[in-house]
Parts: sequence; C-alpha cells; structure tokens
Amino acid sequence: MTKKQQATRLYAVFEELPQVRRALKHLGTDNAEPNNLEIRSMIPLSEDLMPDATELRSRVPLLAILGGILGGFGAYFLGTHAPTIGSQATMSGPPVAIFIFEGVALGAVLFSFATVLTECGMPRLRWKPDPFDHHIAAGRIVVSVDTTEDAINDWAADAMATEVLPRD
Amino acid sequence: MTRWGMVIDTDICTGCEGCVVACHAENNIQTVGEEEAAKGRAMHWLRIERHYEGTFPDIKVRFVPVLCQHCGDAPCEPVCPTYATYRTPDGLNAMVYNRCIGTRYCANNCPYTVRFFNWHAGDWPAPLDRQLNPDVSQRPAGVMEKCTFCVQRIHDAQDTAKDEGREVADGEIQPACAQSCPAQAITFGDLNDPDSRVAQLARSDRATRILNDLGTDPSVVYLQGENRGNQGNGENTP
Amino acid sequence: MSGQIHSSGIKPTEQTPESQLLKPLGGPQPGLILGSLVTGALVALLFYCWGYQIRYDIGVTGLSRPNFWGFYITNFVFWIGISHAGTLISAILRVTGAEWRRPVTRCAEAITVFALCVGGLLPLIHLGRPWLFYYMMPIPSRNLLWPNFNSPLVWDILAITTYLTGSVLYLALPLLPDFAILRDRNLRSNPSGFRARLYSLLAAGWRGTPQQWHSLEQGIRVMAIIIIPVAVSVHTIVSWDFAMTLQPMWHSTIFGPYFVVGAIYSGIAMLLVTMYILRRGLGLQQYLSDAVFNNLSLLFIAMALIWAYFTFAEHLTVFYGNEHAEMAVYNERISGQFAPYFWTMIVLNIAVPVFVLAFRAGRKPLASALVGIGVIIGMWLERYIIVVGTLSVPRLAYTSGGYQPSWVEIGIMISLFGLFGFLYFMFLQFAPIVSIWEVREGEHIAHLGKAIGTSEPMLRTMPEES
Repeated sequence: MTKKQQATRLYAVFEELPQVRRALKHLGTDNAEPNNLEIRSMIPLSEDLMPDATELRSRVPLLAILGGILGGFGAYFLGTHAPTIGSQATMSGPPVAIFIFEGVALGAVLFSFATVLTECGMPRLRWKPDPFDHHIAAGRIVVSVDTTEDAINDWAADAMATEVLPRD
Repeated sequence: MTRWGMVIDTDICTGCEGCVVACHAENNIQTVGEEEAAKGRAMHWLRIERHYEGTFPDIKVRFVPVLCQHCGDAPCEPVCPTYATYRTPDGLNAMVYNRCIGTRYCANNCPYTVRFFNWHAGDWPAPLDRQLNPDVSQRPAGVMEKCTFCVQRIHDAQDTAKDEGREVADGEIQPACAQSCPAQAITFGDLNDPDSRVAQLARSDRATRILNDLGTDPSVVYLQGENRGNQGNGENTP
Repeated sequence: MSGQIHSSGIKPTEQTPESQLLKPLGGPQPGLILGSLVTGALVALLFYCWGYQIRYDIGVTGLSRPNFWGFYITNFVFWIGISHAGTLISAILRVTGAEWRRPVTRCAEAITVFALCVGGLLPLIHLGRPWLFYYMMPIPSRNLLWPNFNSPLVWDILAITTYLTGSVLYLALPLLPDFAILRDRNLRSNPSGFRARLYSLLAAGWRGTPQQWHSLEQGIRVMAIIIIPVAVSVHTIVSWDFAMTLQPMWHSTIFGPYFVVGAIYSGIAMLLVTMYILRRGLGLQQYLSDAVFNNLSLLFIAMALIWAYFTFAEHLTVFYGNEHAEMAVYNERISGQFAPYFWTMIVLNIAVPVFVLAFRAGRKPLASALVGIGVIIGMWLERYIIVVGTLSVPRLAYTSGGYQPSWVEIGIMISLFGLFGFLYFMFLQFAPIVSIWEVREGEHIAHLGKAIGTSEPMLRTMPEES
C-alpha cells in the first residue's frame, strides 16, 4: 500500500456503540489498512474499542507523584531559606510540615494538569473542523480512517452517514 | 548579655499620669481626638489602670502602669507574617515600622493589649509639629506601634558610652516614663546585671509579674505590698 | 424514546432536553444580563468603598482596640468556608462513586472557585497598608525580606493559593469536553460568530478520542483525590489564625476540625440556595431534581448534627474548665452582649435544619433552600461571634471595648456578595452550569447496567437543529 493510494480519509458516523465495535472488527479485512484510526465521542466509551485491544495508558498518576515530590522539596527550601532575625528561631517543626504539605499538593495538581494537556496534545489553538463534528456534539460516534480512493468499505456499512475527504 | 527590664512599684505610684504624657511627648505618639478616642482608639503606650479595692468608706485604689512587657517569649512575635516584630539580642521586643503591613495579628495575640494601631496618620498642625522628637520616626497610617523602652535613648547612651570608651553605667538610661515619674516608681536597667538597681528591686519579695502563668516571661516586674493570691491566676491584678 | 419528563431523577432512556442547558449560551438572555448589571453595580460599590478606605486610611472602619479584627476577617472565614461546597460534591462524591452528583458538580465547583476569589480578596482589604501585601510573598528582593513562615497568615496564603489553583484546574478539566460540544454546535450554526471562535479557543483542540478521554479521566480522578486533603487543610489553616493565638476561646484544639465541618456545612447551604435559584431561573428541574435536593439535604442534616456536636463539645469544655479569662468570653457569649447573636445562631444552625430536614417535605427544593439561607446567616454569625466575641473581652479587662462596623465595612461586605454573584452570572453565560457530558455518561453507565444485549441505542440522539 503506497502512500499515494492512501490519499483519502473516510469519516463514518455511528449511532450505537455495538455498531462501532462491529465496524472496528471489520477494519482489518478490507483492502484498507487502518492508518490513523480515530474514534471520537461525546462521552468516554469503554476501553475495548481499540482494534487490537491496546491498553490505554496515562502517565498522569506517576507524574502527579513526581510533581508532589518536587513541590514538597520546593516548599521546604522556600520556607527554610529565610534570614535569621535577631534571636527568634527561623523555623520550627510543625509549620515546616504544613507548607511542605501544601507544596506537595500544589506540585501534584500542576503536574497532573500539565500531563493531561500534554497527553491530549492540547492546547491546540487553531481548530480545523471535521465533517461530522456536530454529530459528536449530538451524542454519536465518529470513526475516521485513512483509506484508498475507492472508499466504500464494508466496515462502514452500519454507518448513519459517511464522507470521504482528501487527506491532508 | 544585657536584658533590659523595668521595675514598677505600684505601692508608690500616685496615678498622676506624668509618665503617660512624657511617653507621648518623647515618642511622637498622636493624640487621636475625642471622636476616635470614643471609638477606643486612644494611643497610650503606657496606660495607668485603676483597680479599686474594698468598699466605701474603705476604698483603696491601686494604680498599675501597664506597658509593653517586652516578653522573653513574646506571643506577638511568631504571628507577624513579615517579621515586623522580633526580639533583639539585648532583650527588647522591637517593632520595625517599615515592615509592618498592618495585619494586626500581633495585637490580637498580645495578652496585655499593649499594642496600638495607627488607624489614621498622626496630625500635628503647626506649631505643634515643633514638639516632635527628631529621634523618633512618625508612623504612617496602617502601622502597629507600642512601647520600645525608649530605644532611641538606649542607643543614644550606648553610642555616647562607646565614644567615651566606657560601659553604659547603671541608671544612665532612663526612658521618658522613668525620668518623669515624680514618685520614682519606675526603675529601668539591665536585669541581667546583678548589681543594677533594677535587678536588686526585682529580687524583692514584693515582686510579681502580670499574667506570668501564660509563659510570656515579661521583662517588667511589679512590686506590690501584699502578695495578692496567686500571681499567675490570669486575673487582672498584678 | 421521548417520554414524560419526570423530575425525580435521571432515567437513562429518557430524552433529557439539553436545550435548557444550552439556552443561556446561545445568545444574550435578558434575565442574565439584568443579573450581571445589578451585581456589576455592586462590584463598582466594592471599588468605591475599598478605594475610599485606601485613600482615607483603614481608620474609616469601625475597628478599634481591642477589636483589631472585625467584619473583614469574619467575611474572610465565611467565604473560605462557603468554598468547601464544591470540594464535597465534586471531589468526595466522585471518589466515593455517588452517581447523583453528576448534575451538581459544575455549579458546586463554580461556587468554590468564585467564593475563593472573593474570600481571597479579604486579607488584602483588611491590611493596614495593602499596597505592601507582597511583603508576605516569598519573592527575593533587595530588602532581604522573607515572610515569616511561622505565622499562620503565611500558611493561609500558601493554602488558599494551592486550593484556588487546584479548584480552577479542577473546574477547567471537565469543562473541556463541554466547550468542545459548544464549539461544534456553534461552528455548525454560526461559524464566523464570536462564540464559535471563543469556544474553539477554550476547547483547546479537544477531539474526544479514547486516549484523550482516558487522560482526562485520570487527571480528574487524581485531582479529586488531591483536592480533598487540600480543602481540609485550607480551612484548618484558616482556623489556626485563631487557634494559634493565646486568646481565650480561640486557643482551642477543636478549631481545626470544627471549622472544616462548619465550612462544609455552610458550603452545602450555599449550594442548596444556588441550586434552587438555578433550577427556578434556568428551568433545570430535570437536572437539579427533587432527588438531588433530597440527597443533598440528607448530607446537610448530617453536617448540622456534626456541627452541633462540635459546638456543644467546645462550650462544655470551656464551661467545665472554668478558667477566668475563658469564662469571661463564654459569659458574654451565652448571656451577655453576644447572646442575641449566639442564640439566633443556635436556632438557625441546629433547631431549624434538624426539625425541618428530618421530614421528607422539608427536603424539597424550596424548603431546603430556605433552611440553607438560615444556615448561611447562622454560620456568618458563628464567625462573627468567634472573632469579635473573643477580642472584645481581653484578658486585661481594663481594655475591653465594643465594635461597631462602619458603612465602609458593611458596604464592602454587601458588595462582595455582589462580586460573587457577578462572577457567577458571567460564568452562566459562557459555560453550561450542568456538565453535559457527565450527565450523559451517567445515563450511559446506568443503561449499561440495565441493558443486556438490547438493540436500543445506547447514546441518545439530539434532534437535528438547522
């Protein structure tokens, strides 16, 4: 399959989740290799959608912990790096615990947010609309895949609507 | 190490309030005016509390001058978010006007209620401004202040002694209140110097401290005739 | 699949007219515009009063010696307390898997964020020299100033900053899919309009792929887990502004948990009131249904009882200790000058909620919202009694004194309610106040639980709009 033959992208709108599952099973049997398969939906769907049941992975918990550790150290140095004033003790124990706690929380929160954005490829400030976006907003599922020019594929037989666009 | 302290003899105090006036004059304390005073904003770094004892016709009044106690373990110090109040090595609880942003937390934690806030800036219309003491800064509005044991006089005496190549002598430093008391009820000096007058008086068997049970370790010792009940019962009698 | 719209909960196979949720976002709404203008006028009042106070010094307040703290700190604790509404609903209920929280999470989180914005202003407003507030920040400077981390006020700054950041991000994350929905709808109906561009920007490229959903859900789950201890710590630290002093009836170990319980309590009260206003004003009966009010009222009455328990324990301890300075404050509170406020508080916070909410009729929307108003007033009074009640009765009784708020303090207090309302009205006009995707997801999950191999559509369809 040369690149020239995969010059189009097929978009298909499905009403129901079982239809999507059947369609994904069929994808391998057509003469179109599922390149750049994208499934888009309005709510999170169950994870067995991917054709070869690839595990969805997210680094968020790990990076949240990392962010917490960094935040904790940061807070510790922030609080204890203080000039000594007269004969008053610079820092006593319990306040150190308090702001290390806050630092851990802040670090974890910021890191998890940043990780979510990074893993989602966001923020993407220029939005290029796709043909069936409004169907997603209506609650349907849109599956799109790069395919060949002769694009009526069986796997999209259940679809409510299909559209073929030149791939860019 | 020096520890500046004060002994006040309440058996001698006549309640004349000369010390209050002297403190005002020495430290550029504003007179807030009738309206503000009615709101409870009068600023007397040193106040004379009157405690009546007994019933008519056997009433006795005890006059107790209360000022910043310059606590060894001051509750006002750890709560200031900007380190505007701290303990100096020679035993003063210092107030740094420049750092004060006016959260007023220190005043809330002072059990003696001896801190005062500049709700408005002081006003000395001419020619009153000629009475201002140039050694003491005028505080802007929004800043906390309190008795400093006349730190300007302490520094002045220390500078003079250093210029003359000697130690500061006992009794050389007199805060305005001690200086002006006609009954000589207020004595000031180094509590850590066992030969100083203030240390000798503090060893008297009439000695007591206010609210001592709170653990504030005040530097001001009060002398009173009868050791009235518990010294540390938190009650209003010293 | 259209049937009767029941107001007793979300049934998975019913049509839920999201048009109600999308109506405020379609264009200018007279009611919302009017609300924004009125509250905007109050925000102008805030600027005026605060500006007056900065110009003419903080002496324009009614504060004095010994009442160095008054309305401003009362309101500060009050607003930070209100902010615990969102955390309870959207975080604790999410973590424990309570599905009925779905319609409520966003309006609750919005309350949290805006209450924190309002409450966070108050430490600035109450400063004597607010233009020097940055002395409390750990910013290196030539002055070698560093904040005193021993001070509970500095802990306040850290805690509130962390909580505000966390809450904003926690509000923002679940908004992304909803902004995507709005983007797609607006791009179809009015591609060159302002809203299409706004939502294209706000949705930040959300596509709704399984990987994105997985990341998002992990992120929301992690943040929900983090934000719960942060919320507990925030109001604990605010309470330690008082408990870390030596003042009678402030220096109490119960203050940490007591204030957290009180915060959740007042937060639920504000949430009930807000939900009722949204339900009536925007016609959201299907989402903010009777069942949701019922469940929230049950939580509410539980918090009332816990709060009552803490209050009783605190006062009993003081009474038995019979310590001179504490009893002076206690007597003023129970039978002295603060007695009217104290007993009103007891009635509004304990008697009314328990006796009204114990009955099913009392847990209906209007009744519970009215009880909520009473609790908001009662919890405000609680903070006032704690702050001013102790300060007016100092240890050295010679210096006791009264406190009267001035017009500046009252004006700022009222205008802060206006600021909260203004922020909320603005939010209503740009984001759906019920999380569209979470409600749908809830229906989907409920339906999955019921349907076994049916051919019914598992996602509802929207009527095509031209």
